[in-house]
Amino acid sequence: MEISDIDLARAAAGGDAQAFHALVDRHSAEMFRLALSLCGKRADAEDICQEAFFGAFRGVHRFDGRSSFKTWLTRILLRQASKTWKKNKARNATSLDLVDEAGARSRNASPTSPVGSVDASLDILEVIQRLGPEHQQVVVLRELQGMSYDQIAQTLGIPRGTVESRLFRARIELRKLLKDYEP
Amino acid sequence: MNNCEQENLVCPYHDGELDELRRLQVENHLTLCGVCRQRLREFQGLTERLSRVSVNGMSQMEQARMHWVVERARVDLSSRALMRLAMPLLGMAASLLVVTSVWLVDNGGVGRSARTGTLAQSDSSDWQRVAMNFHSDNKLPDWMVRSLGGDRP
Repeated sequence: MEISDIDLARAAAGGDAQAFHALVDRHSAEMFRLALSLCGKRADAEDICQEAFFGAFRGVHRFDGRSSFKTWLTRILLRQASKTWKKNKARNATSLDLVDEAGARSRNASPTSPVGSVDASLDILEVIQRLGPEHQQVVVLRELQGMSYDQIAQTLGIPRGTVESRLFRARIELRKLLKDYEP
Repeated sequence: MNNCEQENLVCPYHDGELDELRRLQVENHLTLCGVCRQRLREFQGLTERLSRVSVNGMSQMEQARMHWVVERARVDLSSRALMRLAMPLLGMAASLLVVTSVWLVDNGGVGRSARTGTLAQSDSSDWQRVAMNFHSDNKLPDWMVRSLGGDRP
């Protein structure tokens, strides 16, 4: 029988590092995909994940089991991603150049060509980077992670009504940004 | 686009997050309101587009580095715990060293010799006096006192 996340976290809090390694095995792939969706760059995604796991290991004794371990870990990762977003704000000029290049590529590419579809996928991820961290988070958690409103509310520590309104505004903003890429 | 009061319900409706009653209310509203119908189409298009996005998973090397980070955190925590234990002991050792040094300076010629930088001949009489004091208290053997005075045993 598989040991639950909560039992592994308790064991890790008691000093069992192997238990925490088991948690890394379980959740690292999903956390990495989430980080990559939020920041768009593999190197940044890896840094965010590493910081999140580092912080989680050091603070695992504070995990009280009120939410699932995954939710707790996601919360740490989102905080870390938000910090990275603020740190990289100065570098956004470079990223926007890349977005504009990608936009030009997708406008030139035929919609049926494979290059066009790969670029379209890249464009969406790059456009998501242009949203503020609050809008980014709700869009990624809902659209790419498939979380329910209640799960998003628990992960972000905000009321469900705020999730609804934030997601509404984020989608409108994303739609507006994506319009620039449509042929 | 014009706004509609019920527009904000389109989002949870699209995500299937409304209870049955509210869902029916929104469905009725959608038959009458072009603004909300347009908004719903936009959200559906966006979701459809985002569903085609594939985010690559992590490589084995990247996962190995995650484990390495956890190991580093473990070592970091252990060394911090060790430091917490070692710091008071180091403090005690330093205090002991200071007290011993002060005691030596007050009770012997070491301090003066150290200050002058040489263990000069003239200081040897101080050593002898200290040794004789120890001797009078039977703390030093006779041969040692004799050798200090220049006699051979």
